[in-house]
Amino acid sequence: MRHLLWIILAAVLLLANVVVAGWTEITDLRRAREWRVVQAGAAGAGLRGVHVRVDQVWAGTAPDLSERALVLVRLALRGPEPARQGWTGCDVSLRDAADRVWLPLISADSAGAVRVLSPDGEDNGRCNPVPHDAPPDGQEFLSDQIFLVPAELLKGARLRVSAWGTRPEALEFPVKPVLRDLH
Amino acid sequence: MIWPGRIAIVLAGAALLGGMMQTAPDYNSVVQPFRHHVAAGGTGEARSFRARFTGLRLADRIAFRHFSRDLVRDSDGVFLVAEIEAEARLASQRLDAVWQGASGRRYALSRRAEGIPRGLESRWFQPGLSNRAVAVFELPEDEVAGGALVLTGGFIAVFDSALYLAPPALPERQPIIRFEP
Repeated sequence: MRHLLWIILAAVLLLANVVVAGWTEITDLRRAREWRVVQAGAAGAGLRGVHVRVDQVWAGTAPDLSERALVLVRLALRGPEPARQGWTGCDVSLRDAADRVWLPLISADSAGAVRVLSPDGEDNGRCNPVPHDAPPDGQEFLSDQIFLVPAELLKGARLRVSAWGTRPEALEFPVKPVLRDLH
Repeated sequence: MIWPGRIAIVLAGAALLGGMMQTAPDYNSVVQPFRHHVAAGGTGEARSFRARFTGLRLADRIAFRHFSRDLVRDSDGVFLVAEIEAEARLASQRLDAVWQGASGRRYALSRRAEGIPRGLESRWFQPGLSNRAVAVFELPEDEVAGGALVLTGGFIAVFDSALYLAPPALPERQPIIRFEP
């Protein structure tokens, strides 16, 4: 009987050790993955106190590289400042039916590409929920992210938005870019 | 008579434990990426990307323009310029390259060639889109023949794939290679 108690105690301690050691990894994994995706429409949707809407999506192709396209996604965010703090590290990606993922371009040239593709010639910068020039609570502010994708994705794609403070929850929007003639 | 039996059990246990400790692989070798060897000219399929070794050039010096300055780098060894064509399969990603020499030594991308046009360190590869890039290594000349270009997805390839791409036919060594924008 005394041996059995020791064995049970050892098993409990082993389990406690696994839970304590694994807790950090489980938390990190939840913060990295988008397991609960909420489908949103053109009116946008709220998540953790912040409302997200796809304002505009434009696309452009070059005649000599017709198999690839640049897609510019303009997002509109609004929400009170404490809620927007939870959206720090805002991640935006495009996905196709096979769940392939395209991330925004980050290079010295991407800001110039945004200005070329946006009809107003503006670059609002990448998704940053706490910009230094944020408007008063309740007003939307814009961000621009540009993607290089195969031209076949222009028929329709899904835009997924999440942040460090929202994951494993994320928002997903259907996007159909408006083709712009850049010639 | 019981003691010799017990001593034998303890000794056998110690020998087994010692053997396990000696042969257990260390963490780094346990989490090495899975190797895929690709013959010259072939396209390698890794878990998250596919790539082809399209060209190899050797030179005493390289020249390129960086931040509006003309730079020329020379070497006591040789500059190996590997040209690749690659495509991501799952998600936009970068690739890292290492040259594994004939001796088994591994050479990282030359930091003296940072900023060259189409340089691998600044290249992103997108799903469904083939993209070309150049990887430059600086190494002793006897490490070129019999070596391989090792491509991994990103800079931490734990439990990922590594493509070992055999080089095309070795070219003549050129005095200088100029990288044009």
